[in-house]
Amino acid sequence: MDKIVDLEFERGAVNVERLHHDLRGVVGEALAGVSVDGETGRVRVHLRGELTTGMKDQIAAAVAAHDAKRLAPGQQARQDRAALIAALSKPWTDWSDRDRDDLLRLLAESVGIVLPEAGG
Amino acid sequence: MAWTVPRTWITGELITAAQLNAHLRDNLNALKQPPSAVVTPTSTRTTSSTVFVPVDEVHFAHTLTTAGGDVLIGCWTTAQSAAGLVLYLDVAVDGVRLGQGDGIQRVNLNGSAPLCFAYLLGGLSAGVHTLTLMWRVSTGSASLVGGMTQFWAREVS
Repeated sequence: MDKIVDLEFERGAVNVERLHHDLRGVVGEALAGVSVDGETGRVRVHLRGELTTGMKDQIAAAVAAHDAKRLAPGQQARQDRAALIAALSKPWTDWSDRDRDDLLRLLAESVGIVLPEAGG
Repeated sequence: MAWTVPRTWITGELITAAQLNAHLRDNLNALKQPPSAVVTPTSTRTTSSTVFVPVDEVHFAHTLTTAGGDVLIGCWTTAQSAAGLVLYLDVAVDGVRLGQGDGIQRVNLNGSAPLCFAYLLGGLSAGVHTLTLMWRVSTGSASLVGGMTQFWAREVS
């Protein structure tokens, strides 16, 4: 089993994907992930290997500063994609060249022949 | 109630109350109430961990004192994720996972899906053992929905 060290915090609402993104920026590949109990608000930050006191302080600061309302890049990309699909839900006669290009790009992304423009 | 290896009786043997209590009453009670544990949490758990970690080492970890033999481990849940990802489940016995790199069950998630497994763990030694539900994701985050998840274990032989 991988050597994983947990740091635990108590806090209110958490956007797990956003907090994961924020912490990845702080500790890089040492971050294995984040787990949250939705009822108690207990947050566990899973980390690979040994941690310095400085890293612990940085992680604690990032958890304290976390804003659950902010989206992670992947979430933003999914939201943008959903909005684009909603905007395309209109009669064919109303479609512009831009709409057709957007649909073609969405389809190409969905079958994996082009990379998404943002997020991940 | 502890299990006692049944006595081999011999012809003409005088049977005592203590023997009957130990070998019949207590063993029947042991069969009626084998070591078992279950949790059906009401709160939703979410993870973004890409390596196996306990779902919750307090509520999703069962400690059984077994008589030695087979243990049946089960889990049913509704898993959900907004992103297309793979969710992996496993069980750790005394800190050692049963599965390989992908655990003992995986599912492609894009929305919600039911997940269920029953794992027969054979030949577990007699003694105290801790069984912990583990999970990881390929990317993004996934949840086990509260009130729609159960994790249990029971010695069956």
